[in-house]
Amino acid sequence: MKFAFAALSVFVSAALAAPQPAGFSKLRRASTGRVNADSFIVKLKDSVSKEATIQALNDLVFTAEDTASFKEVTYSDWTVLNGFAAKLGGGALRAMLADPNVEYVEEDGIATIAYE
Amino acid sequence: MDSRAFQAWYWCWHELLRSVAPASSANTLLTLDQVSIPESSSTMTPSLDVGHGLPPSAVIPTLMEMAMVPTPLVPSPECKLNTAPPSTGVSDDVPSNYGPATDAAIFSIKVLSDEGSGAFSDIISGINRAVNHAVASRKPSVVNLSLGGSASPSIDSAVTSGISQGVHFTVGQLASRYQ
Repeated sequence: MKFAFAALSVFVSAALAAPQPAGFSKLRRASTGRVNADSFIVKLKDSVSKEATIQALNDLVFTAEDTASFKEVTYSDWTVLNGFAAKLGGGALRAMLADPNVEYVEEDGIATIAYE
Repeated sequence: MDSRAFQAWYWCWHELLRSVAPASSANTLLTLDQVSIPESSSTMTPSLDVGHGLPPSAVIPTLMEMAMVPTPLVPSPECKLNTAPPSTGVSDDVPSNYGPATDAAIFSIKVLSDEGSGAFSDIISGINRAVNHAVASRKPSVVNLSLGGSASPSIDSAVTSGISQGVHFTVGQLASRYQ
């Protein structure tokens, strides 16, 4: 148990010391590069209310100069995953990445049928 | 009689009749309504007076066919008990909870386009539907996915959630993912 605590503290301090901009590490990119354009899967932390986060996203007001911003929730009824899918751009995507309730934001990748 | 039981019943009769009438004499193959042999048939011996005692609706088999008719002319016990042809490996000495699940319900949930690709978010919605249906049905369930693409933490999370609720998963991946 002591070892686990030690390992955890080392990990946390390393994460805090990482020189990445805030929120960057929350973005999960599709390794194949094939993605559903502008679509993202927002995974929330387990104890977080999905409804509250979606409400916060809908209430988000973009600044006038942020013309590339948009938001549209495409799937919000999942029960197997505490999260939702949405079309996000600009300020909306940055807001989700900066939200402390968000565990990660994953690119909505494309899968293909596997048969051989 | 439901359709599956009828198919098994029909298959038994089909096999039985095929053994009665070889394929070379297909034109003499008896049809289902022509095998209604009266009860006296078990004691009936071939004779020239074949029409005697038979109901008008019965087709009179030839002497050769009568000689080949096994007695009694009913499906064997195996055919009655099994709901699938013996080629599937099911037999009476195997416990009933093994073998093909002939009463299984199969649901097809389309998550990919006709071209064979689809978004992770659509796949998660399919998993969501399958898991919720399986849990609501309270029946043993297996979800099968055969997909290739990027590793996805959200799909992993959805599958893990389904497993934790008692649903089995088989997830096939293209080997190229790991190359």
